Amino acid sequence: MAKPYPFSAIVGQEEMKDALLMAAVEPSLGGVLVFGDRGTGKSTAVRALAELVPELAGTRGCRYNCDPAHPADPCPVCATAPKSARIKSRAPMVDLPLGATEDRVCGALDIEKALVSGERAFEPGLLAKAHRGFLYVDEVNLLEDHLVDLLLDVAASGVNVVEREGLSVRHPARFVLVGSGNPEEGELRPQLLDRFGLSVDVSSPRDIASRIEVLKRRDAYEQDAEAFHAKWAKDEQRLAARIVAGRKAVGSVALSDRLMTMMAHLCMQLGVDGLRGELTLMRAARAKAALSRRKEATLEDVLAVAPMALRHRLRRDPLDEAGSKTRVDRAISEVAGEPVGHA
Amino acid sequence: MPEKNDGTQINPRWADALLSAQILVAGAGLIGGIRLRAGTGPVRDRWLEAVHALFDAQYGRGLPWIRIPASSATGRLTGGIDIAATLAAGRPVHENGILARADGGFIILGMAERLADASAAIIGRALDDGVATGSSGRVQPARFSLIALDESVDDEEDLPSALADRLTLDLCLDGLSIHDALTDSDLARRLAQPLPSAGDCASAMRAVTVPDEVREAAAAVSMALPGSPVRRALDLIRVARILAVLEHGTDVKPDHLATAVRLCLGMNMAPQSEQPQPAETPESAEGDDQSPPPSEPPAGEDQPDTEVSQPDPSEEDMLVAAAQASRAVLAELDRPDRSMAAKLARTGKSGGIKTGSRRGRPAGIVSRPPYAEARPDVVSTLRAAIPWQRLRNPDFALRADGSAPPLRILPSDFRYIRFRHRTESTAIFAVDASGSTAMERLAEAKGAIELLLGDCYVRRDQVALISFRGVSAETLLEPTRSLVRAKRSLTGLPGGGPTPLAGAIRRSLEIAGMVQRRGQSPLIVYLTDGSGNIALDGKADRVRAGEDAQMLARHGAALGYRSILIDISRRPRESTRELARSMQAQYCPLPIVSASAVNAIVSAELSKGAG
Repeated sequence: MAKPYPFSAIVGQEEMKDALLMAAVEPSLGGVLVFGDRGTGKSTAVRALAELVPELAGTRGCRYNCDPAHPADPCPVCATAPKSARIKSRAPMVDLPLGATEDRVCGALDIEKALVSGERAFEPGLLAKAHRGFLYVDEVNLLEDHLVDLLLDVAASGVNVVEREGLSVRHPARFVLVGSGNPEEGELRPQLLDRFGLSVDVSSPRDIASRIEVLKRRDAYEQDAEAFHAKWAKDEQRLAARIVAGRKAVGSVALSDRLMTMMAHLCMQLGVDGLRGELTLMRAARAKAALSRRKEATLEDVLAVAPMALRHRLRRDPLDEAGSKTRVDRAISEVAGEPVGHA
Repeated sequence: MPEKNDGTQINPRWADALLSAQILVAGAGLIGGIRLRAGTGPVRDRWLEAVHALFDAQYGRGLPWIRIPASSATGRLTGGIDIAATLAAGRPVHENGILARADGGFIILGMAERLADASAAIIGRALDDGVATGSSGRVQPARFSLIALDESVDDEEDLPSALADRLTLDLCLDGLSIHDALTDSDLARRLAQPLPSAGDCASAMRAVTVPDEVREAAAAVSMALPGSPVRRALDLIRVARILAVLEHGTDVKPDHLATAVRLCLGMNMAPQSEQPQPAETPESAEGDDQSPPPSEPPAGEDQPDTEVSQPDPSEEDMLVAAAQASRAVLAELDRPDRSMAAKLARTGKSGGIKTGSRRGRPAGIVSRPPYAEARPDVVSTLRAAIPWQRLRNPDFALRADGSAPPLRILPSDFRYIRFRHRTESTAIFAVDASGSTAMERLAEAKGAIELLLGDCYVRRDQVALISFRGVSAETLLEPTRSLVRAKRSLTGLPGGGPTPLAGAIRRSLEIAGMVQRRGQSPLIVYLTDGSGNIALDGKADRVRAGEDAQMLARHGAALGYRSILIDISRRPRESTRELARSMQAQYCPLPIVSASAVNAIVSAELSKGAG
């Protein structure tokens, strides 16, 4: 398979790129939801992101993507033969197809083995495959509800528990969940929306200049992918270094009490239920600061992440005409006392 | 100019069709494929033969040319374990999926408008990546071109957008006569000409330069299209490059782009005018220096307000205008009342009546898979197999050591769990927008729709809206679950005028039928005072109008659609009650309409459930 289009070469879509980078730096953010028209670079960005994160150490033949330091219990390769050959591989980037069944997603009894040799074996599913990487669900709004429930559950707990057909299996499944969709084709239930960490809206570029830039770059990539990658290699390395540094630093980013209070005010002002909004806001502000190599989160960080962390948590009022982004911006300017826009 | 042996001109649309075929073959693996809008018939067959012949001439015989139906199960597409062969062999036998088998060739997808969106997503992904991942996780190369045969006749069905987005070319053969295609005696001669740079179009394409103004024009064209998709602009440049390669050119000229616009946006569909028209032809080899003037898009001819009749290839205005005359826009101009579905991408829900559900409560064991990807239930499979073991293992009782021989299980033993869950409902509102209270009523109906959508997530219900006034009923909102979409199409509704009640009932029944074909259960909600005064044929005749309405009401009752008639007249009349009785509708007089009251009635009926 050809190398995907480089992340740094994506024109515009700054908010989406920011959100994805933050999720890569701070996996506990709880995933990113990208809503917008078709053909706006959603899939391109997600596939490109997997190239930026550092390679993972693994074991040859392991189907659970185990971390060699903490192998999963049910993994026959890592648990029984710990001395197997070590390999390094790209972080997995798993696409969840729309028609996937629950069996395929969380794994199930290996029916063929069961019927042919009478062996009771577990066949790991897509969740095991996505461990330590990314799980991308295109058209998440069209996915069956029970599958979305399952995905969000596993994404939040980091563990996939399978209790079915006489099997009882637990294996780690920590991944960054990225969902995308077009709201015109159907919406997600608010309960599910709330469980995504960040939410961004994307649209096709409206000005002709950036469109032409998109065309130029994409055309260059299609005609000669290698030359294109060589051209962007420096930017990619710089971005990859930022992610590595951000991952190290994110735990130690300081957040002042004043900012915490402000976040709480913001959430109350908007009537966001529960604490998930504040928690996400906090983590996202830290991730944003870590990405910019700062030791402390600033007001600007909070203001930049607030729309994407809160936009999808507002209580829906079908008769309110104002878009949720406007409402968040309004509340921010009330709480912070200054007008905002995305940086 | 291409001329047949008898000296008459070739229909330029057929010439375009053949040019599309050449691009498709030359760009195999570089462009996703083609959407072929045509009914079954000799013209389509002829075109497919032409593509096949070109393909064989280019790459030699024997490469995959696979025709599949739209109902192909996703498992068959991606491949996996062949259960029957596995049981026979006693070890896992992998079977290649259709996509992997088509590697290097073509897939012809019949009745593509009936494709389930899951299958569309899988095929689209394979077109993007060039690989297919089997259900057992095996990744295999799958570089193929897709010919999607789109036989949809109206806007009710559309190609799943996951697929339509990735098909670069768009060709319509409807309206071409057999004469155009079959009497084309020198087709064979033209097919015999080898395509330039056989087998390596990619490197030739790389050598072609694209001037900036062409790129700008492509960007401008894509901006003018509904939804302004960036992908289309890329498609245009890609096809323009291939056109340049076909003409042995070294750079993309504006007229290449003009042709690309015509071929990619499905603009060769309008009927031709009488006078012979110079058209871009596939004869690049012979027409290089006497290169024909860039033809204006045929579709633009009957669009006097677009400026395409002044062919000036360097003008990007022309291209924008050409794009504006493209099929989607034309359709919108021609049929304002049916444009909604054409404009909004669908997701391919047209799978017919759903026979099996994947979730819900278990409702029995069946021996045939209730849906394509069903997995056998182990316990009931074993239970079905055990009584036969003595027959299948003649030495069953003879084992001296008491060990049991392995179970012999045949595919006929497989049992599956059938699930049942409540089907989704679609509430179809038919709102009387006639008379003086129209605006108020419409506003309350809109409010009711938004309230319903506001809490329909859990029940998974959809809502549609028909308004009727003047001489006809108009579909304002196709069945949707999206509040965003509903809001957009509900702004600014006109009101006033006479009452075409019969027409409204007819339109509601049509939509109800469509909803039912998608496997959902319709609920029709009429908000009217019941006094129709426009007959079905549009004439103002109160008696005929009443008869028509009664007839259609009985028809609806016979079809078995659930309906509610909310009588919104100040003083409810017996005739309205009579109408409700004819359609076997629940009758609710509601002299003072309010969004919340309507919402309450409809919600109660919806949550009664359709089983």
